[in-house]
Amino acid sequence: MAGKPAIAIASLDEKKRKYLPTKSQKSEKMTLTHTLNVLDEIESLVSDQLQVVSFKWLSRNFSLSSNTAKRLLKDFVEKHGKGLEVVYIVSGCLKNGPSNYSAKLASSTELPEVEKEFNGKYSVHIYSVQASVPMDPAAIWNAEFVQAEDLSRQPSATDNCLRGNRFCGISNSFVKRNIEGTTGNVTAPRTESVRTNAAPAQKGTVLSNQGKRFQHSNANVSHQAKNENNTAPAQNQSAKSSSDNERSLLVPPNKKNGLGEKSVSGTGGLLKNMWGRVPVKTEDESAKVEVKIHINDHSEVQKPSHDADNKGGSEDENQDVNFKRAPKHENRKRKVILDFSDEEYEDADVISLASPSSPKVNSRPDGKFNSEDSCPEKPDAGVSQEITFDEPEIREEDREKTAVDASTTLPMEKIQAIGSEAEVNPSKRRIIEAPSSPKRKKMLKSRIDDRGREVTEVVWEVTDTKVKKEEDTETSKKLNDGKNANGVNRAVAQKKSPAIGNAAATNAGGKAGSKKGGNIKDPKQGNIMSFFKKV
Amino acid sequence: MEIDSEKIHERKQSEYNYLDERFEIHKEMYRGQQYSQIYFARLHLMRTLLYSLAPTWKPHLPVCKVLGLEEGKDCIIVGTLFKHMKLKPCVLDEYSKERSVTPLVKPHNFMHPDDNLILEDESGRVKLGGSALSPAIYVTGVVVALHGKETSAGEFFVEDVLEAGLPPQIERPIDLQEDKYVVLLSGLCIGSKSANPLQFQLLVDHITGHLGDEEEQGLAAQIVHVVIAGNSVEFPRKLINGQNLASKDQSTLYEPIKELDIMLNQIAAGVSVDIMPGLNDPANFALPQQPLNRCLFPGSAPYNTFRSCTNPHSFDVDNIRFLGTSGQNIDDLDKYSEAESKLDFVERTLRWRHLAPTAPNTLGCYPFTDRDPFLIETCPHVYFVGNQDKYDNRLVKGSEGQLVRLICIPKFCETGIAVAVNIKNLECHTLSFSTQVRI
Repeated sequence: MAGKPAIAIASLDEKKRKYLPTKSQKSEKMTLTHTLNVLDEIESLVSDQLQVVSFKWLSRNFSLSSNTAKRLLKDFVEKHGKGLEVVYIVSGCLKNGPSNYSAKLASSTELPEVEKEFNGKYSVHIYSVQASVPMDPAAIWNAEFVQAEDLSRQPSATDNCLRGNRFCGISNSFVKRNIEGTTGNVTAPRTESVRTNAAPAQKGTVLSNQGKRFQHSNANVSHQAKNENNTAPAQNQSAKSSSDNERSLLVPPNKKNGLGEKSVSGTGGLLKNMWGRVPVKTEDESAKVEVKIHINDHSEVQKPSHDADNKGGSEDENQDVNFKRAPKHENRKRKVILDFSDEEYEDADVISLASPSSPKVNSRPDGKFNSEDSCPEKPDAGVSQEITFDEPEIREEDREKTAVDASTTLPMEKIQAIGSEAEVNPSKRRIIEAPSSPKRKKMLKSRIDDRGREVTEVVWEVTDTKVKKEEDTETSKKLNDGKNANGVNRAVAQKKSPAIGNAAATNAGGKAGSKKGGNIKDPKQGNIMSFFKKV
Repeated sequence: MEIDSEKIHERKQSEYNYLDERFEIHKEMYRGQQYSQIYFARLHLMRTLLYSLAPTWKPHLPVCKVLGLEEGKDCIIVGTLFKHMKLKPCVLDEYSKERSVTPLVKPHNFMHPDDNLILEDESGRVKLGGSALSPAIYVTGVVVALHGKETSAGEFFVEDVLEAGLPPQIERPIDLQEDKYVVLLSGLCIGSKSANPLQFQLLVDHITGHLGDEEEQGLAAQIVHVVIAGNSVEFPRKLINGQNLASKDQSTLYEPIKELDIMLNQIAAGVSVDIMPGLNDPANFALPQQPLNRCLFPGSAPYNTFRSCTNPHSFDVDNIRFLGTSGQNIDDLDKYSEAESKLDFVERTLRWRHLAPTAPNTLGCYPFTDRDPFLIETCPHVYFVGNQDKYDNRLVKGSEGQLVRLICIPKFCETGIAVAVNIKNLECHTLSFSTQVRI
């Protein structure tokens, strides 16, 4: 109900703003025609729209001071008040509590009674006019509150009469409103920053990490993270807030503000490490999606060659391909540090470093140079305590990618294979523990039982990746001959995929990938990859 | 836009100092510690204090520890009181009886004629006898010095009690010429059925200078600070039952905070305002409650006049020290002891120099390891407690010339009353608002 007249009056407001004389030219009183216009408006609102018009509502709507609005209402009631109900506000000191201030609403019928309760100098003003007083007096407040809500919904940077507190009788020049700190759209800047950071991997990681941290911890600084080249948003913020506050009143609270913001961003960083990883993860996944689009692009380019390779069908070529990539990933492997956290957290930490790694994966021609360049960056990014593990990262990417574009999963599978390869071929690299999920492997074990007979059985064993790797280093580096069952399966899957079709390959690849981490299946359940296995 | 011929008043300004650092928890790490450390810190500090007071109180008596008591020997012992209460609810009861879904509100008192007091220090405990120490007045957690002697029954017969008394106070500045007011209110309960938004709007209009004529607005311009002492919102309990909320329920949940934010926005645009968390607010449960998150107030947070504070809250306005809580400490005392009026409880906490002696025994509290932040080290000039049933105030004089105004702030949603304190002379009066309209 309040919406309709608000729009009509807003346009009226605009017209007034255009044509009214400037402050210096204005006379002290409103022009007569203007007053009459407003009074007509009030009449239509109250009688036709059945809205409650309080003096505050009037003052905000027509940009009048409260005192003027009160006078206007008084004029209105005198001229058009017939048939309308008026609510008065009586304020002052009560007789039975001489120093206590009291303000009471009263209808016109009870006004004389209420006035008697007050002593000495008290004031009576019209609070509101309406067609009829609602049963619950609190409903008088509704129209005003709707107006306040609309004003509060305006973008934070706009100063309006709610925020500026313009129309009251008291001014306070020491009040300052910090417009910099907005809780505005946080997602937009973040994706932007990731997009541009995906390419220049070096600076990007540091910034995107910082940017994300600040965005999480301090809404005030969030939109400043937009500024990718600004490496110290927090400092800017505090500088601004300190410049805002020159007066003594403001110094303590604003020091706190500045400090608070800093400390919040600081603790925000800590919090993020403690348990904020979950939200970080989701956003980083979105970041990954962004980055993955790049992967897509790269992979599109590379795909024909892949296909060519596969169609060629020669194992050697595949091996070559994989061979080339292995060292790259071995370089990456170097950065793996010990992690005691859950896999989820690994993912989150991994994700933050995903941007340099994924272009590395895809930019094959640049290959080694790229990886070597960006490798040392990782520790510098200040995440040395966190673990990067390619496996889950790639798997994640794979899963996400399958959602994005099923047809281009082929290269992803290859990447997966490479990931496993990298894991498989540590050779002399210093590689520390595996991810926390145990890896199960089907193993043929032969033993002598209590009767002296040799028994060979198939056993699901939880093996240490290290052990597995050691085993594998003994074998040849050829993918297909690797003892890593999953690797074998995947390689086979690669070969078979053009034949079987992409969808199946996707599933196979996906399953193979998930097997790595989540091989906690029922050992009695057969391995589906055995279907593809060459005995 | 319009220039009126009326006078626009300039709001008076004051110097404000924020003193809540001791109540903030951001540096603390919980390592699984128990509450014994906070009790130890409390005992240690208070004992040093009482030892220094004991010679002036009873100079000829020796001071000893509980284990050093000898039968029949007159001495002074210092320790923490423990009140053994028969009716005190035990946490194990929650597991033995049927549990009801709604939070059990037990407003009644747990006192019983058989309650007895025990004194404890790090060496041992001793049961207290005698009539000098009334179990009805004291609660667990108070540190006192007792004069008496051990009886043959193994009890300590108390002859006299020494409380810490009012802490030293910083001199009030005598050169305050103008009347400046600090408005205290609590218990807005926005979102509850009993809250009347029009009433709060009238208060806001008065403080910001919309109501009344010029003279009244001039009076309102003398308000320099506003403190909202807890229980500002009340969320509908039925929605918070551990299940996922439907989207329409989510907006119902959010409405009270949004309304509060718009009102605070109006206040913050004109005058400095502090908001403290209370029992029903979206803050942590254990004392000291941490400040309400600024993200809850997107409209008000950008103002430099808006401050989110801890509970308890301590600050200075023009060097007048204010200290106050949202009422949990006094409500807890009310459950475990008795007094004629709430102000008696308030005065007792001041004399015991401890804001919340029942914490952590029956009042939720953070297990501090090296300090007890609730110890009152400097006597405030104004000591307020929020969310009480009715308005009350008292001027307390200390033995060293301290002057404290004790204020019980009533719940605004029930009474429509806020309190204004004049920092020039520590006088206070009420601001009341009524919206009863009969046709």
